[in-house]
Formats: sequence, C-alpha cells, structure tokens
Amino acid sequence: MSRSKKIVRNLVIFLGLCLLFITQTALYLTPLSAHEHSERSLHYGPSEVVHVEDFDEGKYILAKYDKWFSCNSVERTLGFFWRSGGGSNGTENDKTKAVAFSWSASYEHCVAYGIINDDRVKRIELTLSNGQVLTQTKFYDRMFLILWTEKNGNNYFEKLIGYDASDKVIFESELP
Amino acid sequence: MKIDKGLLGGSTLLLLLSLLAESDRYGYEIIKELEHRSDSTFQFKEGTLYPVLHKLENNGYVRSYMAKGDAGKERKYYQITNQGKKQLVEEKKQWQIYSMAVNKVIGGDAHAFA
Amino acid sequence: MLSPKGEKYIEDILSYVKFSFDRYAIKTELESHLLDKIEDYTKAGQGEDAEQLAITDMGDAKEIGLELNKQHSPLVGWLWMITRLAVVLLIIVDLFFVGLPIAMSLFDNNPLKDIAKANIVYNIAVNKTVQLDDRVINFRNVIYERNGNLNIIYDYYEARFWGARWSLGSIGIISDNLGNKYFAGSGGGGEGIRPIRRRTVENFSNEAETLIIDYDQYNRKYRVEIPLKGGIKNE
Repeated sequence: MSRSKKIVRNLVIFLGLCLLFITQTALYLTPLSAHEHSERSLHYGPSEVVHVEDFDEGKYILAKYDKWFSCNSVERTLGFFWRSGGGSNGTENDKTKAVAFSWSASYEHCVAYGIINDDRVKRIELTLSNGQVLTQTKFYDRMFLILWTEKNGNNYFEKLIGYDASDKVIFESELP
Repeated sequence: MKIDKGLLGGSTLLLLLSLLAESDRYGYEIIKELEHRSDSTFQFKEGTLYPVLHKLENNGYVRSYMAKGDAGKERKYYQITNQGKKQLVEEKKQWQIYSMAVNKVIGGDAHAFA
Repeated sequence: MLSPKGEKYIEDILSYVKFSFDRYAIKTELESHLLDKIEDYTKAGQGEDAEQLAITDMGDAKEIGLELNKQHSPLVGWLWMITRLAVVLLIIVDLFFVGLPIAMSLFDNNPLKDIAKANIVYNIAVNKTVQLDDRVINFRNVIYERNGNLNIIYDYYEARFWGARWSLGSIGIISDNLGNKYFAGSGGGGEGIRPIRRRTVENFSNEAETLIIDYDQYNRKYRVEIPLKGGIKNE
C-alpha cells in the first residue's frame, strides 16, 4: 500500500475511532449536550435552561422542568470534552414557601440555588458557617444561584434569608 | 549494440513489472536479470533504478518487504500487487500495438508480433 | 563493509533526500547493492578497483538523490507518520475508555450468587419489560427466601447506541396487593453494558399474591404486577 493510501486509510480509521469514542463515553463536545444527556440518562427533564454560570472547573446550569428546579454542573475534561459533574436531578418547588432552594457541594465547590415564589423577595442573603455573608440581587427568571468555595471544612451552608425591597425579612430558613 | 536512454525509456514499466510478475526480486537482482536477458543491450546507471522502483511503490504497483535471500543477506524485495498485474496487462497491450505499428511503417512482418 | 569513499558516495545521495526518516531504509538498500556489485567485480578479478567501478556503474549521486527525493515527499511522509501516530494513540484511548468497561462487564457480579440456594422457597421466571427514556428494563426473576426476603432480579440496557449513561437508581416503590409497602432492603449486581441487578426487600408477606413495582418520578411512570402464586416450592 502506498503512503498516500495509508494516509487515507489512517484518516478513515481515525474518524471511526473518534466516533466510537464520542458515542461510547460520557464525554461530550459541548457543555449543553453533556447536560442534556446526563438528564436523560437519569430519567429527568428535558429541562429549560435558565442560566449558565462559569466556575473554575466548568459551568453550572440552572434549569427548570415542570414542577422541579435543578442546578447541574458540567466539567471540562481531557482538554476539550465536557462531562456531567452530577446534580442534574431536580428538587420539587414547594410553592407554599417564598423561596424554594437547595444546595450541594462537590469537593471544595459549593452552590446554593433556588426559585423565588414570592415576588416581594428582591435580595437573597446566604450565611455560611464561618460567618461569611453572600448576597445576590440578580435573579434569572426568578431563579438564583450563589457559588462559594469551601477550603477548611468550616464553610458550609448555614442560613438563607430573603429580603424585600425595604430590607424586611420575607423568608428565612436553615434547611432547604 | 547498447541503448542508453536514462533508464529504459518508455518500456521501463513493462520490463520491471514483467520481471516482478515472475518472482519477487531485489534491486541488484533486477539489474542482473535485465542485463542477462537482453545480452547487455539495456545499459543504464544502476542507481537510477531505485527512484523508479520507489515510484512504482508509491503508485501501488509493487510493495516491498525485507527478507534474507539465499546468501543470508537482508535485502529489500519488491513484489507485484494486483494493481501492478492489471497495469502489466495494459502495458503489454500497448507495447504490441506500438511494435506492430512500427513494423508496419518499416515494412516488417507485423504478424510475427501478434 | 564499504570504504569511507563508498560511505561518502551514499551520504551524498542521501543529502538530497529531505524526508530524513526514509534515509536509513534508502541507505541500507543502496549499500547492499554496492556490496553485491563489489563482490561480483572482486570475483571477476578487479580487486582494488572493485569499489570504484561499482560506484561508477551506480551513477551520479546528485541525479539519483534528486530523483529519490521526488519519491519521498516530506509532506506525504509527515502526514503518514502523524496520522499513524494519531491512530495508535486513539486506539490506546479507545481501549481504555471503551474497551476496558466492556471487558469489565464480562466479570460483572452475578447477583444470583448472593442468594443461598438452600434458602429459596420459590423462584418465578417473570420476563416483563418496561422502558424509561432510552433504558430498557427487563424483570427476570422473583425469588422468595425463607427469611422473608424477596429478591427482584432485573437487567437493563441502553436502547440507543449513542452515549454512555448513569447506572439506574431506583426501580420504583415495591408493594403488594395487601397494601404493604417495602422500603428496607438492599441492592446489588453488575455495572456493565447489560448489568444484572438485584433489589431485595425484607419481611415480604408470605400471604401476598401480587408483587407491585411502581415507578413514578419526574413524569415517568410504569407499573409492573407480578403474580406470586405458582412459585416452585422446594419444601
């Protein structure tokens, strides 16, 4: 076989192997396809993506699906692939509460997220166990997410408060 | 009489493929065989055979492999491929047409070559 | 062995071949040609002149070198080497990420091994199939044990070629026709391409006539009812 034929043959084999890799692993070329496939394989969704936020290992995807809300994480891996970091399943929105929320931690990356049921809530304040206070006033289609990192083992979720425009407490909870 | 035309002129492909269709051969073996069968009619710079052989390989008419010959020396052998065999049939046809035409022109007996 | 003169002649030819990875093969080929020819001249009595004669027969180094260079294009050579390397690397990657999981699933745990034969009261072949998104779940056997453990043996696989998947979490809520719900228990089995899994619930009523598996999560639903009478009593 001449060299130019070998090159063509190698390219065909290469594409075949790429296809095998892409189809048979949980690695995807875009963050959203990793997200969608992970939801489907966990038998949830397809959700409506409300907001995507970067963090240093990938992206958080804030989404709604029927009566549930979720915050999936997708991570960069092997250079240019994306994989789901877990958390694609939803939490049911308890509409009796002014704010329905959840939080999760994966290694040092923590995220609190939720949905605002009472439109009077204009500001979300998150208190961590080390006393640090994180504030969020920007909402995405009534949803919010707050990121923080946990390094010394004392930096976990402690309390979430929702304030109205005049700083009156509308909602306060220590447990999701 | 000695003919020196670069390598073997237009019939190079026909001659090389014919020799390789008989058996796998290495470069020097091909040269000796050409010389022997043509009673030294074909003479050329031996080194120029190799670019031609490598070209045949690039075209897919032959492939090569390393093997030890009778004397136990490791040599690069050339083997005709199926594509090369097809090309040989084609070259033979063209050669017959060509030689018949030449013979007709010079008034020889074309049927002797048919 | 060639003399320094012969070596230099071959090096001269090689200096015109730009694709350096082919030089060694060309060198060996030309060397063996020269050595053969020298041997023939020597046999013919040309002792000292043999090498020079062989070189002269070979021809002009530049002419040969330039012609060889045409047949050893660096572009083609590099593409060939790069694509070959890419294929080799990707084969290794695929073996690791695709081949290894398949190989591992050959050694999957068989959950039937978890159940001691002597304890089996009955074993019903079920063969009921349900689908969740792209996942096909096949309920194979229900095995009831003397201690009241009820084992549901099932397997699942992906109906779609595309994409790897998370393993299946819950198969649903287990209950019986008497209205009892069963939560306490365990699970186990394989993790591969088509794993066989076991879900075991404890203290299952020996008077129940139907086992009910009810799945209702995130707008996906199925309900499987399995009659328990007709099991093979081995006591």
